Amino acid sequence: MRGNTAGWDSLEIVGALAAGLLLVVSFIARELRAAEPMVPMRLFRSRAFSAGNAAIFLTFASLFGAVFFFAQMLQTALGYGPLDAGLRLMPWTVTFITVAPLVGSLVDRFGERPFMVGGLFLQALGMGWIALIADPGLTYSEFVLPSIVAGVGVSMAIPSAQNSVVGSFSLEEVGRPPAPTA
Amino acid sequence: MMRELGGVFGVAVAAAFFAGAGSYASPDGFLDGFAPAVAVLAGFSAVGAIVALALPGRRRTAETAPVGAVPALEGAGGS
Repeated sequence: MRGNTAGWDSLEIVGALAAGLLLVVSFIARELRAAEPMVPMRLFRSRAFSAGNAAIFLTFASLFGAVFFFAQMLQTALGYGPLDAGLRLMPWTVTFITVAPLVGSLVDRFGERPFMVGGLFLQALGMGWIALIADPGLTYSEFVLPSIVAGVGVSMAIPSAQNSVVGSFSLEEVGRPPAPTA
Repeated sequence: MMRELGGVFGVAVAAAFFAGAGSYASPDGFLDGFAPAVAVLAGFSAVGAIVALALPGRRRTAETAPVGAVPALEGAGGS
């Protein structure tokens, strides 16, 4: 968060990134040798597990960034109050509770891949559309349709991604307290 | 776990792009940062779509219980 103020080549930023990297590497090294690892590294040999986890990471990176900035955009750029901003996000958020359960049942019939690929494509399309129209003339009515496109997309991707990851281990690997899913 | 990691990663990267191009000082200044931030977020989704292409296709065992139904490690990679 402080990269621009502290400078991307400052000791603070480089040090924090290096420390983070070191911790990840030591975690992996420890897990490879542990008798009962929390996240068995062999799971990553399964494409369903590793691609599913990578896709979940990217999906949530995109989604949480949007959650963070959409509400601010409605308040700071378009001048709505908190309640008005929240109400205007509803066409987007309502897709999470309407589309996601529907997709959850379809995934069992058609497999995860079409929903993940299609959903993330729609999410990218909606977000890219919003990025293109985000200039000083932006109005709410321009924002609402791409936000629905993005919402439908992410609502397709998340239940399928979870299914892919959870379905990729065997039963005896589940149940250790910090399950490595999603 | 990937959700939380992805979430903080997305917010952090988007915020860095926002701060690099815009500010909270005015509505227009906000949009100057908002556009590149959202473009980067769109990029994450696009990369995610490409990664998702690597997923195995439809699982034949899908009609049984979802957890444990798949011959976990080797079977999941089949065509």
